[in-house]
Amino acid sequence: MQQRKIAMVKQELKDLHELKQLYQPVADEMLVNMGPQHPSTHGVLNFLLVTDGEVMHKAVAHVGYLHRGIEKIGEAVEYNGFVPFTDRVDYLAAMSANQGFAMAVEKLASIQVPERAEYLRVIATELNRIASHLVANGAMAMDIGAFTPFVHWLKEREFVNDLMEELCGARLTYNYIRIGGVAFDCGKELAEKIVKWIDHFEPMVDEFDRLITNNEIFVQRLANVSPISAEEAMSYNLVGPNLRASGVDWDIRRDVPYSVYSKFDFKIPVGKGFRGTVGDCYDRFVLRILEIRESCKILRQALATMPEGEIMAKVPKTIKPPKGEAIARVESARGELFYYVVSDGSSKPLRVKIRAGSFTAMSIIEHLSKGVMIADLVAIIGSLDVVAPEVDR
Amino acid sequence: MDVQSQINLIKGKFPNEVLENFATGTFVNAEKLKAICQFCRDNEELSMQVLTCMTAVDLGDHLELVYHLISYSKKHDLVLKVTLPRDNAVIDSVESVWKTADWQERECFDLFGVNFKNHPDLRRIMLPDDWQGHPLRKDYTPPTEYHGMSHTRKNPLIPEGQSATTENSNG
Amino acid sequence: MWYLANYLEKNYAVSINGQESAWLIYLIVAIASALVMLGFASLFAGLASFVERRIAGRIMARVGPNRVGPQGLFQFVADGLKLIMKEDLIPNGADRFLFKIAPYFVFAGMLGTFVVLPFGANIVAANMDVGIFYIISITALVVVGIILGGWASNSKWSMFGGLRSAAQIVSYEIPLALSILVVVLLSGSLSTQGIISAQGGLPWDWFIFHSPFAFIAFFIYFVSALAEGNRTPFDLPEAESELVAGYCTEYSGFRFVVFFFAEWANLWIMSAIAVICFLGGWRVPFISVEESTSSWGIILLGLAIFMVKTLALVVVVIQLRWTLPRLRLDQMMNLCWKYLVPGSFVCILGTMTWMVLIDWNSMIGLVLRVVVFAGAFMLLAYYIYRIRFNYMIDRDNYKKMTGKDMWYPPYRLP
Repeated sequence: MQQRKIAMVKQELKDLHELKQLYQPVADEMLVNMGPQHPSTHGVLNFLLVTDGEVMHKAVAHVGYLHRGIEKIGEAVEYNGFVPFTDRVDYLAAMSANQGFAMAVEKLASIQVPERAEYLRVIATELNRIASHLVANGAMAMDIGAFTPFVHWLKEREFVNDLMEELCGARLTYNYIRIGGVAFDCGKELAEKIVKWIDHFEPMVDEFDRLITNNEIFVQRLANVSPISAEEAMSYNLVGPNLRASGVDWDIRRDVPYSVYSKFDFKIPVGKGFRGTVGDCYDRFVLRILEIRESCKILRQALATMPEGEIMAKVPKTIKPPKGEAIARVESARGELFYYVVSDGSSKPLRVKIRAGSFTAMSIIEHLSKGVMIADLVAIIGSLDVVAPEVDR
Repeated sequence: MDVQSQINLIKGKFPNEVLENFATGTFVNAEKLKAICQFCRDNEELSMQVLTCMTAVDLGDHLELVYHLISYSKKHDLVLKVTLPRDNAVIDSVESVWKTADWQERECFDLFGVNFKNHPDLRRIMLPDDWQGHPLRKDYTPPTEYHGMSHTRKNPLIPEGQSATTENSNG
Repeated sequence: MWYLANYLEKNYAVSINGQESAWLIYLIVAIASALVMLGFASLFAGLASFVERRIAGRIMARVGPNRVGPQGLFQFVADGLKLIMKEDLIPNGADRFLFKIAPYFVFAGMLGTFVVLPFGANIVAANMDVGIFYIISITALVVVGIILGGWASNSKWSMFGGLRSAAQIVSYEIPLALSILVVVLLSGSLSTQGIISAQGGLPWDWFIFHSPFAFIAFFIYFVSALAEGNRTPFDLPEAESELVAGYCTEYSGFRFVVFFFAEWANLWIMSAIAVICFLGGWRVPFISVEESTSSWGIILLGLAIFMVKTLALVVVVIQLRWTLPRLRLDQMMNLCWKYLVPGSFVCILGTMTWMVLIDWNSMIGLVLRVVVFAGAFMLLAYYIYRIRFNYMIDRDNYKKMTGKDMWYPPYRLP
C-alpha cells in the first residue's frame, strides 16, 4: 500500500514535470488539467489546457488511459477467439466492429457468407448505429446543458437494447457477427417487433427535433464553433459523420459497397452549413439525426426483403487461413473502421491492426483548440463523438 | 484506376524506387517514401488525399511498414510497403504530406520502435513516457514491475506450495 | 413584526427593576420572527428540492423520487441527514479559514432578504422604509461568498467557477436594479409594503400591466433574477458537465448543504420579489388597502394569494431549468450588457413618459391598463395555441404510424 502511494505521487510529479516540459507558460497563462475523470470527456481522456482565463491557447491531448493491448492480444488468441475483443474496441457500436474483423478474415480464408446472414448483419448494424447516435447526440446535448433530451433518447435506446437482447442475448457487447455468418437467427416475431418499434420511433425523432435541434440557445452554442474544412478533414483522416459534415460526400456503404448495402435505397446526408458554416459542431449534430432517419429506412427495407436460408457458412472449428493479408472497411457509427489482418498460415493472426475513427478525431482537437473557450472545447469533443476505447484500443 | 496502372504511374516518376509488386500495391524504397507520398497526393490522376492507415508488421527478421492510401474523388486505393531493419528502423515522417500521420506515426514509434525523422513531436502515445521496450515486437518481454507495482501476482485461489492444475482452477 | 410587538407591549409589558421593558419585548419578537423566517426558508428549500426533482422527473418521462414518505415528501429529510453524516473534508492546501466561512456569506446573503418579504397585510418581519433597496444590497454578499468558496478550494476548476459566477452576478445586478427602479417610480416608495399598497387586487391593477414598458421590465427582471440565482440557462458557474459543481466542488457534507440551501431559498426570493413588485403581492381583488387589515379572514386570504402566485413562478423557474440549454459565458455577458441594460434604460424612460402623460387613477389610465392586460392575455393564448398546434402535428403523425396514443399509455415493446 505504501509503495503504491509512493508510485502514485511519483507519477503525479512526473506528469507535472512532463507538462512543464511540453509547454512553458508565459505571462498570464494557466495550465489546467481536464483530467482523466471528468463528466464531459466521453470516457477516460486527458487534456492539458493552456488557457488565458477562459480562452485557450492550446489543448494537448493525452490518450492511453484505456490502452489494453488489444492488438497484441490478437496475436495470442485464435481468429474465433478474437471476435469478443473487437466488441470492446468500440462498445457503443459493437456490431460494426465485429463485422469488420469477420469480413477481413473471410477475405483471407475465402469464406462465402450466406445471404440471410448478410441481411441479418445489416439489420444488426443499423440498429446499433441508431443506438450509438442516440447516445452520442444525447451526451452532447447534456454537455451543452440540456439534461432532458439525453434522458429521452436513452429511453428510446433502452428499447433497442431490449431488441438486441432478444436477438443475441447481450445488451452492449454482442459477439453476434461471427466469422462466416451470424450467431443466432431472427424469428418472424422479432422481425415484426422491430418493425413496430420503428413505427414508434420515427415520429419520436420529430419530437426530439422540436425539443432541442431548433432551440435558439442550442444553435448559438454550436453554430460557427470550430468549422473544419474539407481539406483539413481529409488531411487529418476524419471519417464518418465528421467527414460528411465538412462537405465531403464519402460513405463506405455506398462507395466501397460491402455486404448487401447495394440492394437498399438510402441517401447519404452531407453537411451544408445548416445554421452556420459548413463543418461546424451544429452540422455534425444534425447530420447524426439525419443518419438515424436513413438507418430507419434501411432497416425497413432489410426486414421486408430478408430471404430464408442458412445463417452461418461451413467454417472449420479452427480457422487456418492461408498466408497473406486482407483489409476490410466498415462504416460504423463513428466512421470508417479499418481492419488489416495479416496471417502466416497458423491458427493465430500474425498482426491485427484496427484503425478507428475516434483516434484521428482526437488528433484534430489540438489543432482546433486555438483561441476557443473551454465551454466550446466541451462542445467540440462531444460533436466529434470521441469514444475512449476506440482511441486507445 | 486499377492498381497496376497506379504503380506504373509511380514508376514513371520514380523508376528506381519501386520494388516488388503485389496484389494491392507495391514495395518502395525507404529513402524515397516521402517523395513518393507527396507525388501520390499531388498528382491529379492518383490524388490520394487520405492516408487511411499507417502501421507496421514484425516479420521476425525485419519490420515492414504499411501505408494504406485512398482517394475519395477517384475512388481507388493503394498500399505502399517499406522494409526496415529491426535494429535501426529510421524513416522520414510523412506528416507534412498528411496531417494524420502525426498520431499514427507516434503510435508506430510507441509500439514498434520505428524512429521517424522530422516528426514535430515524437513521443509515446499509448504507454507512459518512461516505459521500456516496444510491445508489439515479437521479442518483447513484459517487465515484471513498473514503479514498484508488480506485474504478476500470486493467484489467491491456489493454496501455498501448489501449482495451478485443473483441480484447483476455478471452473 | 412591529404590529405584534406593539400589541404585546400594550398588554403585557411589565417593569423589570423599575425600568420599562419594552425593548426586551421587541428583542424577543425580533428574534422570534427571524427564527420563523429561518424555519420557513429551510422548509421551503427542502420542499423545493423535492418538488424540483419530481417536476424534472415528469419532464424527462420518468417519475422522480416517490419512495421516502408519502409520495416521497420526506426525500429532503433523508438527503439532509445523509449529507450531515458525511465526512467533512477540507482539501490539502486550502485556506482553512476562508474555506469554512465562505458558505455562510452566501447563506447570510440569501437569508437576509427573507425579513422584508411581506407575506400578508401585516405579516412582515421587518417593515423597512427602504425594503427593496435593502434586498438589492444584501444579495451582493453572495458574490463574496462565491469568490471565497472558489478561491479557498485550492483547485483551478473551482476558481474558474467562482470567477465566472462573480462576473455573472455582478453584471446582472444592474438590469435587476434598473427594472425594479421602474416599479419604484410607479409606486413612489422603496418599501415593499408601499409597493404592494400602490397596486390593486385585480390583474389590470398590477404594475406588470401598467404599460408596455413595465411589461418588458418584468421580463428583464425575471431574466436577471435567473442569472443572479445561477439557474439554467445561466448556470455556467456550476455547469455540471464542465466543472462538476463549480465553486462548490470541493465542499462535502454540511457545507455543501448550505450552498445548495441558498440556491433553493433564492428560488423563493426571486419569485417573491417578482410577485411583490410586478404581480400585486398579497392584494385581494375588490378590497382596498384600509380594509385589508380589518379581519383575520382577509389577511389569511392575502397570505394565500401571495403563496399561490409565488409558487406558480417557482414552478416556471424550475421548468426552465430542465428544458433550456445553458449559455456560454461571453453570450451571457453580451445579453446583459448589450441588450438588457439598454432595454431597462428604455423602460425607465418610457415609464416616466407614460406616468407624466397619463394619470394612474383616471379613466383613460384604467382603459389603457385593461388594454395592456388584454394584449398580454392574447399573447399567452397564442403561445399556448402554438404549443398545442405543434404537439398535435406530432401526435397525429404518431397515431397515423402506430395507431396508438403517443404518450399514454407509456410505450412498451410489443
